[in-house]
Amino acid sequence: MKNNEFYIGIIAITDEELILRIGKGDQKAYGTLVERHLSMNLGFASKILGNTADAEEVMQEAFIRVWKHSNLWDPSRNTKFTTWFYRVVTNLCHDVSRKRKPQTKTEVLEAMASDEVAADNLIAVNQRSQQVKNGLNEIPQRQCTAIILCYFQGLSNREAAEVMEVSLSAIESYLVRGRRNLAEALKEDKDNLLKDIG
Amino acid sequence: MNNEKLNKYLYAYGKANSPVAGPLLINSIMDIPNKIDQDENLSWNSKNIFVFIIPRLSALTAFCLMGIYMGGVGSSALAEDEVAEIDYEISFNLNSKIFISDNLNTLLDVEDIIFVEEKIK
Repeated sequence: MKNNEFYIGIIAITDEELILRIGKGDQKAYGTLVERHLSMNLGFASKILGNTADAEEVMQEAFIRVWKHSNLWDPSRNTKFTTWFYRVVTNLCHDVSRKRKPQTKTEVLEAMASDEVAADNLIAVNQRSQQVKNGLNEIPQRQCTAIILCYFQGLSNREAAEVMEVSLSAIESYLVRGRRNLAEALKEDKDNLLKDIG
Repeated sequence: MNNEKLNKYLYAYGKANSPVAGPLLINSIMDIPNKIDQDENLSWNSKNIFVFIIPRLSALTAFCLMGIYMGGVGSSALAEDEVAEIDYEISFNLNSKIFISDNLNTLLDVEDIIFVEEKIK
């Protein structure tokens, strides 16, 4: 059984069929779509933004768009709902990133240092996570999105390319350069932290 | 940093940023259909065309007419301004029969004014 299929009796309903039903005001179909996509996309938004509270706001806005615009869904375009929804969430996350105040390096390092004292372990999981968050903030946005889509969300390069509306070779390039830049950022961050700690 | 180490870091980030949707968020999202109306799906039948097009067309026509009217008024107002400006620039003193240009205001020195008068005579 595929993840994206919903069974009523013996009939499987795809996301695209659900969105058409939602367009006719079917709240049950809407509920099913939310159940299918909320967790996965909340995780996605949270990884892009590095912040759960902002990710929750993004998800609310994304589902408002699903409900409002579902009647404009055009099945003849053969767009996959998952691809379209990832695109909506990605754009909303980028809007939030642009609007919010950038976190200063000092704040990040302070958070890392306090985490470290609490954990009493320099390479604790939460500290690594904080370093990655810091690193992802430093690399270009498209490279960051490509890494999150392919590495965390488990999308194939082709699917990620569709979501980001770029060519397959472009996504491959984003991934290679993104990983290299992230590795460099993490190394620099670690060096800075060690210097700060003394 | 090698690939293996980078993967370890990414794994940690993934683990720390995989929140579970709380009941508050789920309820709020599930409640969206009760709070927000869907976009109206406009079908192009004759009634809808009438309802959609006619008011917009009327407003557009009214704006065009207003634009033409304002344009006419505006150009005559400009002409009046220009006439006033010319009047102001060159004033004619009937008694002394001297044309005094506004540029002469810069000649504050009395001797200079006398010189100009003599030159005109």
